[in-house]
Amino acid sequence: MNEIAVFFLHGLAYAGLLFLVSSGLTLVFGMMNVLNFAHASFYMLGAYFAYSLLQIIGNFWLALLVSPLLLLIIGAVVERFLLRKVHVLGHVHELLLTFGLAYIIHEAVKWVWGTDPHALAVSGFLAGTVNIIGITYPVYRLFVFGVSVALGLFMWLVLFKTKIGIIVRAAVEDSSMVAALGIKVPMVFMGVFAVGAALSGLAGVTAGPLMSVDPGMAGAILVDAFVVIVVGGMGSLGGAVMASVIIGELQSFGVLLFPKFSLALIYMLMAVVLVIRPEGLFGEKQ
Amino acid sequence: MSIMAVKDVHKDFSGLKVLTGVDFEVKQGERFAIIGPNGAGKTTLFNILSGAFRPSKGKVLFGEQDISTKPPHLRNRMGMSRSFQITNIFKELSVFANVLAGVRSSRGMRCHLLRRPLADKGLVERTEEILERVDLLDERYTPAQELAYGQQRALELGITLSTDPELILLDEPTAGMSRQETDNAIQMIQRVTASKTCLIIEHDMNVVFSLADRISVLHYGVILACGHPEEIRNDQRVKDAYLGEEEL
Amino acid sequence: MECRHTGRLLGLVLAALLLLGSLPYLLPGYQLRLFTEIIIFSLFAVSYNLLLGYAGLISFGHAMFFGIGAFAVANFCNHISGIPLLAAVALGTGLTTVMGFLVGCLLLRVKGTPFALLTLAFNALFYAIATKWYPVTGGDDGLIIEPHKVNLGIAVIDPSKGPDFYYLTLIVLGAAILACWYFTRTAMGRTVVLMRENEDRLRFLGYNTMLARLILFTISAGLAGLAGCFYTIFYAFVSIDALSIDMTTTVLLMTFIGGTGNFAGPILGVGAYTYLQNLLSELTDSWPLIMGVLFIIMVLFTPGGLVGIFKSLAQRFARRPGSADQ
Repeated sequence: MNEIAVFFLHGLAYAGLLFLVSSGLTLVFGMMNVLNFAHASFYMLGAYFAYSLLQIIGNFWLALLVSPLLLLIIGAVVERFLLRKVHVLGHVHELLLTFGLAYIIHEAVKWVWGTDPHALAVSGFLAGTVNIIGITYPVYRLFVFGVSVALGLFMWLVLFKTKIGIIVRAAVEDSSMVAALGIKVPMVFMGVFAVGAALSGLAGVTAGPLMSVDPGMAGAILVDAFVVIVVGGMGSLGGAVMASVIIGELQSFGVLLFPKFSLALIYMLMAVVLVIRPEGLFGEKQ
Repeated sequence: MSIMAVKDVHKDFSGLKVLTGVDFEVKQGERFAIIGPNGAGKTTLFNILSGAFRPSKGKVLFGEQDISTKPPHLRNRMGMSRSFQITNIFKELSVFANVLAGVRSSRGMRCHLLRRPLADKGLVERTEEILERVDLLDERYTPAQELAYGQQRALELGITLSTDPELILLDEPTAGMSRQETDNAIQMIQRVTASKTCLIIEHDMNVVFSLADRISVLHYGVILACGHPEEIRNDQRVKDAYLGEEEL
Repeated sequence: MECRHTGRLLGLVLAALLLLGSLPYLLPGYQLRLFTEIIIFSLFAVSYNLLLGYAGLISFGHAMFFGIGAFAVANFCNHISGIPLLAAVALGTGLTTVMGFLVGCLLLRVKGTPFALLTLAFNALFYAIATKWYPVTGGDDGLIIEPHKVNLGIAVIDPSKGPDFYYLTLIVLGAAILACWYFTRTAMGRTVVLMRENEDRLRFLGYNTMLARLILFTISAGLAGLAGCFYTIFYAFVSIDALSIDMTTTVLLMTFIGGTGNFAGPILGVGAYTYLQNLLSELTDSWPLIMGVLFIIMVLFTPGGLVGIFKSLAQRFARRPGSADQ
């Protein structure tokens, strides 16, 4: 019983990470119809930046704050100067660009920080454990889950209770209509892309202490994030929440129940959903 | 002999009734026009006839066959071809290639792995023949997107004809044309549909009265009246429906 | 462009054949091996471009067919004693073609980005299965094969000898590449381009576009499998690297750098990539980074690849503008 509880909580923590990464991915796709392969690279950069910041400043909380800000800037630059340029060439070129970007970031990271994994250490109460539902559980994983929930709520508030939120949601639905209303859609695109990158980077920072910081990080979470947005429905934030929990728990229990095929299981889920219900379990039929 | 029969066709889109109890027959060899104000359901009807949509209720017959659920490519192979209101051509390809596509199809050369279409004299000659009939032979090497609007509409017509159909569906063939272009288009349509059956959706009353043998008036998804042009011109219901909208 | 300059073209072709035929006498062993590898990857890239350039289908999983072919031939050689090498290749290619058909039936129900995602997922799936399926793939260790000599009656070809294998590759894969070129001129080849341009209209012209896509995908997969077979024989070894996303990335880069809008583009790309990689890897371990930067620059500024660059240069110096040939 305790074992199950532990795996369940593990799954929630991972679900939190997945949500942070896939929320930006799904919004960008819904709005700009671009699947950003480099999104997981932003996640990885977040972790690496935090690692270096930690070396320089020595304060985890500061790294948690500054790293996503760096990704915010990078995201804005990528959208404004790279993505926008290829947009006119069409779908295929946009995909090729984000794919190429992911490739470059992967190689650049190996070049700057080397191929060996690095450790991102936390200290203080974050490194401890706490008694919860009858088991002793590491605080940090709860922290990861907590950060995701907090940010999720914040996103919900912004998207559903503010004017900017309405504009963003409208742009996801129909960006040409929004443009016709006089709103500067390119700015909205840039903003959403940048914020998405920042969230992904934040996820990377929080993931750092959980899994080690190495060049394979991006690839590891990329496919899971893709599965989340496919299962949840591309463009659906609510779907991303649900799907993150499903995939998070599947990964957690999958390692327990089907150790040899846990990897294959996730891909098969994505394949099944894409073939039978391409709009996702929670998405809307196009 | 009726080449196409529409029997009690209904179409709903999530509760919105677009077509209700549409019923008519198109006789072989005639030019049949469907007119009606915007939003009357003309394009939806066309989509149902050509296979893009399925009717919610009712049947579409082609000859004796029920084609209500047949996909577009099979309908075309049976002898039906449609044009599009918004020009739907192969923009980056040459005018020649645009028409060759349909000619190949009607001669069964769609997916052949060994034969080369350009080496087939029959195909090439037939393609040039069609280009000639829509006055585009001189432009055969021009990329379709470089044509003037009127020429693109002619190409649209040419592509529709390329599969050698018995029944030609024309969706607002003179859309966006000037007076002069419309007159030319009317002549061209009369020429190329001479021995075929033709079903036309149109807005422009001049075009309709120049071309049609019979007219059906569609109003909010219901056929208001059906008959020869003179009958329609004098039909009170039609006049009421069009009150102030068009000079009949 | 149906042979307006037949005489000149023929002369060019003959000269090329002569050059290719005498390469083993002109190049040192290492260079010849490099060139052989270029031929193998050229077929791989050409098959990939049938999807990317001609059909407009972006696939992130083409390596799965390359890998299936590679492993198939290894297993056939190792488990069926005395099997002629070419028979093993034929079987391997056949198996990959069947797999291509089955995978295509599943994947081609969707288009665009969902399709791209599915190809990625399936590639990852096959890779995951391959890492665990030790008896067939050798897992992390890979499989060694000892390719048998090919007895053609008039000559015996020993695949372990550089020049022998070069000629085998040149003839078999060269023929396959030529077949692809011919394919682009056939009815099916033209249909593929029509589909890319306006699939919707094509349906209303009597074309069963789903079937056409499936046929194309199957052919492309089979050809990738053939390339994979020769890859295994070339190294006398195959590992799961042949199935990896890395391998897909490599062929994607090669194809794009060469230029997707032209039949010869991918071949050019393979050559450029291979020689560049050779050069750069002598200088630095981070050559993939440079390749990636080159790729991005090309996506941004020269999306037509090397062929595109040559074409614009040619147009600058030509007196007559090009005409739309298709």
